[in-house]
Amino acid sequence: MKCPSENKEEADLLALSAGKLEPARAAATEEHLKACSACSRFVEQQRAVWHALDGWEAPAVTPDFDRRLFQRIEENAGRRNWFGAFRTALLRHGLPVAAAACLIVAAGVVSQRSPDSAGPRQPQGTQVENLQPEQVEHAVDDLQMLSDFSGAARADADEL
Amino acid sequence: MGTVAAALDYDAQLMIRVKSGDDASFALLLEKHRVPVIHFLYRMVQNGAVAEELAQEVFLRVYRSRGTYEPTAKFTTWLFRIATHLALNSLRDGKNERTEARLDGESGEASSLQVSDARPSVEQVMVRQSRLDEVREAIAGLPEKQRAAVLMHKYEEMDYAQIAKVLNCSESAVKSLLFRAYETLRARLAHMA
Repeated sequence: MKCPSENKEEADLLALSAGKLEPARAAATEEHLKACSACSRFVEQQRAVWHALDGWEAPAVTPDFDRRLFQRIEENAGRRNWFGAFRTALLRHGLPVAAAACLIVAAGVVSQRSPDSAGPRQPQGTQVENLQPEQVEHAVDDLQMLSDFSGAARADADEL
Repeated sequence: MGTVAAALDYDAQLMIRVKSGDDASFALLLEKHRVPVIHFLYRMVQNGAVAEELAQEVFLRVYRSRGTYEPTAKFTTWLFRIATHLALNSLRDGKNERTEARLDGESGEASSLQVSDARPSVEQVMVRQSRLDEVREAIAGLPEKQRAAVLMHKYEEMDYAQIAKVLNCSESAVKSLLFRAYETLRARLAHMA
């Protein structure tokens, strides 16, 4: 057989080290190793790496992982239900809802700017919509990931 | 053809059921993939708490995407694509800066490696800890994509084609990534034979 090291075909050597090379090819490669010090050293060192990686175990999963996940799913669903109801209302009664929203915003602006309005002025921060940066980041990430994945999936379909 | 191939994927069938409102199928998918995803993320970010947080986000995104899910690729490819995407973002954002100093303090792995009738000596524990630290540091020292490729190849036993789909690159690029990564690891860890 051709020497994998000399022919830049170390994939076979990696597979052999991992015990994943199909038997006939593995036998031929093992035979080659007896006469090739470069490949033999490669496999010996790669097996050492493999063995070292085997020793790295990950920690156990915390017992309440599922409970926390389902709680987040429920919270997420709750927010979406609220948003869905708002969207439905907006679609069905678009004009009145929009008018009401405008009135509320206008009232807020007027009361904010009125010099003789009673009470202390609210700090500017409280007027900011409660939009979490993480929500925006997640939404952008989702779009990017779905876009990437759709592209890859289309490419897969085209290939097959 | 891609759809036909994916239709044979049991996980994809479960996901189709989730899409049609069967939450029990989502629980099955979670049960099956929870540990591999968390372990992959743990080895990527090397922080147990961050790994679980990212895994929560992975499964949350899977659930949120159920309505638009189409089985055009293997389910695990999609799952690990999400996991890798989140892990790489987390690494870039530096959210896992508090990398755990010790690997066995929280994992219970020490007990799994102990021989039942002979407790390891202090020296043995220290040697073992030192070797694990070396492994962890060697993996952490790899460039992000090489790290992801090695972890999927070694621990998830994915083939080149699937890793390529997860990382959105060619198979030859994956071979190159893995070759360079293992070359680095051999230089750092080969003495541990």
